[in-house]
Amino acid sequence: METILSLQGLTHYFGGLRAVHDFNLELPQGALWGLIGPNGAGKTTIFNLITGVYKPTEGKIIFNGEDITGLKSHLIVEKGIARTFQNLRVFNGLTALDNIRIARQAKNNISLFDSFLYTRKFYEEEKQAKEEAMELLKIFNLQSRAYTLAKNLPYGELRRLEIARALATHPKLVLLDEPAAGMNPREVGNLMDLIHWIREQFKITIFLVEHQMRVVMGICERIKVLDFGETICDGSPEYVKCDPKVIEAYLGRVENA
Amino acid sequence: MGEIFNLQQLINGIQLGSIYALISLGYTMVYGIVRLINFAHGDFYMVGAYAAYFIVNFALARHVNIPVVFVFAASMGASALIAMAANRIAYRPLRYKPRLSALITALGVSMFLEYFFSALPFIGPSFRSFPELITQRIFTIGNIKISNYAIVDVAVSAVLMIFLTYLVRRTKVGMAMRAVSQDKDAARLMGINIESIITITFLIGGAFAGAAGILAGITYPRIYPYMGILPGIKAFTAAVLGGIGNIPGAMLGSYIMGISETFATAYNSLLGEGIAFAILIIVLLFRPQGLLGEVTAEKV
Amino acid sequence: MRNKKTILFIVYSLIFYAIIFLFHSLGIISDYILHIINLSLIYVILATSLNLINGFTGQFSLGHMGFAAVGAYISGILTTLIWHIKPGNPGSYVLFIIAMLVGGVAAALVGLLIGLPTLRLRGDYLAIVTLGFGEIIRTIINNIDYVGGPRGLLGIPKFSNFTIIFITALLTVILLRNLIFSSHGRAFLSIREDPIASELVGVNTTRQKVIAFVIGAFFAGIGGALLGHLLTLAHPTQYGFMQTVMVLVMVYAGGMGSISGSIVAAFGLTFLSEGLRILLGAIGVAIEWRMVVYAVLLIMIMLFRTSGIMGGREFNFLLPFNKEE
Ligand SMILES: Nc1ncnc2c1ncn2[C@@H]1O[C@H](COP(=O)(O)OP(=O)(O)O)[C@@H](O)[C@H]1O
Ligand SMILES: [Mg+2]
Repeated sequence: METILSLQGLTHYFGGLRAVHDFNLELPQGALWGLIGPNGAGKTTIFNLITGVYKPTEGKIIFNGEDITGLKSHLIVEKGIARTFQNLRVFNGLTALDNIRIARQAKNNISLFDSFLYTRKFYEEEKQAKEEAMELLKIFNLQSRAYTLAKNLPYGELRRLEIARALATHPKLVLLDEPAAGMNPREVGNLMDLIHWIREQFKITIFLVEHQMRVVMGICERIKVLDFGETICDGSPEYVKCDPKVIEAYLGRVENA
Repeated sequence: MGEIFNLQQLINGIQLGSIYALISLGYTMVYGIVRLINFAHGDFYMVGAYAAYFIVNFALARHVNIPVVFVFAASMGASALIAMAANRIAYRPLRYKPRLSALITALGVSMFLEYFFSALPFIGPSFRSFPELITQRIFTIGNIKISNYAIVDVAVSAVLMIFLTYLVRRTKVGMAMRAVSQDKDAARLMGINIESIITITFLIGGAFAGAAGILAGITYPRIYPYMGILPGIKAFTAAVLGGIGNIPGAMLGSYIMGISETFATAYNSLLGEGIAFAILIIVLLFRPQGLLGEVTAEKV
Repeated sequence: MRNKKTILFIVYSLIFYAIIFLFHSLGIISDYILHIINLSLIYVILATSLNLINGFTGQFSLGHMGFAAVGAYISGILTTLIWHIKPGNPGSYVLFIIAMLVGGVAAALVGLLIGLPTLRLRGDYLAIVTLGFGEIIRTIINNIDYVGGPRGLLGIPKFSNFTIIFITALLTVILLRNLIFSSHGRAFLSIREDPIASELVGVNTTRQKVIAFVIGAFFAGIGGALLGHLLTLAHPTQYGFMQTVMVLVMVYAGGMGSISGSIVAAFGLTFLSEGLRILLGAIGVAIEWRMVVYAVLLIMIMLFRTSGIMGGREFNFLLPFNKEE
């Protein structure tokens, strides 16, 4: 299998705090891998490094054979990496439809001139953008919400909307940050089916973060475990589940998992 | 004239920088704690100058001799109270709203103070001359002249800055202030009352601005309701130059600001007016975190 | 034009224009009232363009009248000092329109110069930089003898009449509305809503902020050019911080992110302002109280109705499309 994302010796400091230390990853094309670890382990920070929110103190990020370390976030998105957020970051004041359409921005080649004058090209592009967005909303069973402001949507739908928005950027790799956070067991089950399904449907690679172990066990092919920024275990779900270091990392502290 | 880089200008620059420093500290402390550019801060300085003006004139009219220290205490108190009221009425209700909202009310508070003062019949929009609180003396050393005003300016601001440094580094309140500025949520979990720390910050910042107001009144004895606008912008620039949120940074930035402004003005008055802005743009271009500031990452 | 609703909007506007024009010819509307209407329309240009920056894109610019000053002086220099033209044959009006556009472009270039270094940074730096810019531009004007320094640029020909101002305001509103209801407009809004998320769904946020800022500056320059040629002079004190605040109050009173709100507020506050001026003058109270009223208004809006009169919505006739279309 070809590697789509390669992280080499990724290290990040916040002031004096070492949030991530020497993290390595060779993520194959089409894979569905997980990253777990207790709260504060550094999982979200790794996503932030990959997507260019922070620049790593040390280490390299290679995507599709290209060094993307230190690139601006929107360029990284353009290269094909999309993500969701642990604490939802939808555009609350905009409709579900517009939330999705914005994510097409990079692919949109409408000039200022076309926008000012509403040229034929403008109408064609708008029509296509809308059709595509409606398609995605339908996949996530949100079509009836197209014209609802995001702030008026229930939590579960917002989670789906955020995933749909990530997909609207036409990604090759999607990073999901705790997609099951705040969901009840039945919703978690549906979500896992959905994640499986979109991977097949969109032919994408998925890397997901969780701090509840049981969520990832069911769907990930391989799991990395992080604790205090260090990789403490790496292997199949069965292997990880039984590793004493992992058990200690989880049980050694107060955990709500 | 002739030579531009002379010792006399340097002394004048340090004197001006001392006044900027007192204003700048309030900006930087408030920014550090609530992430708000408090536009009204320059007006707290104006309030301090007027408070002193009225107290001294009141005393002069009744031939009472009031100690200078009392004047300082009273007008620092007046500015501190105004700062606290602004926070309570206009900023606090918007604490957890989008940051832009509080920025706009800060602008509103600033306008309110300026125009309210100039609308009041006993203040009015025009210049007033500040009474002579301390008699001027000039000491001549070689070919440089040092006024006792310069000594007062530098000394008062040094004393206040030492006090602030001690407060922030060594006391419980100071520790709490630093904790709040680093991580509000964590500070709250540790049992710190965020709102009272914010109030204290406004009180101190206001008091310092008030002190700067008197010093400016003594040194450049013309006061008017809009006197806070330009020093406010310059002091803010000094805070950004030093690294916004960073207390030693604000002091350093202010001295650099005061000195470069004095030299630039000696060269050309237009340049003197523009130098603050030029510095601001250059800092933002090349070192937006400022001289002593760190690059901070917003949590995502 | 493929857009039925836009055509309808233009028709409505022309009816409004015809009524005012007719009433003025019949003497029902005095010259003075027409002058206030002209001022209101110029404020429509200034407020909607500032709303693009502050309301739609969520950046806080305080330099809007600084850009208007650039437009007023540059266009005024062309018509008054270089071309020496007077309103007369159609050719002179063509030259005026060119001068106005040059004024707008000059303001846009200054906007680019200020926006590029500043807009990459955290939002609130823009406020202080534009505030400083407003001061600087006045200092510069005060020191240039060629444009009259502190006396102002006098004898500007009176090219701005109701027709020209009306057409320019109408075009401004339509162009800005079209931009806002396009993919660019959605990008602006997403930056206001959450700049980090916006960048992470692929929006080049710095670029979009600069675009909004520069376009806002351009229309401010146009507004300034019209103002200079209406009042027949340009004076540094007309473009101070106070005037910027007046436009800001219009934007926030009308509602962030609502063109309709800016239009309503531009008319409302221009008339209110004139009313207060007359009233305060009549009862012999200091004119500064007017600004005290604005300050309190601004604080009240932010505390009690952040979304302004229109609550971020638009009049239906201003929308380019029907809602679910
Ligand atoms: N922007 C930031 N500034 C300072 N510290 C941060 C920042 N973001 C994360 N951290 C710290 O880095 C560590 C790892 O955080 P994070 O990556 O969010 O953990 P996880 O997602 O595994 O729960 C934590 O100690 C957190 O407090
Ligand atoms: Mg996390």
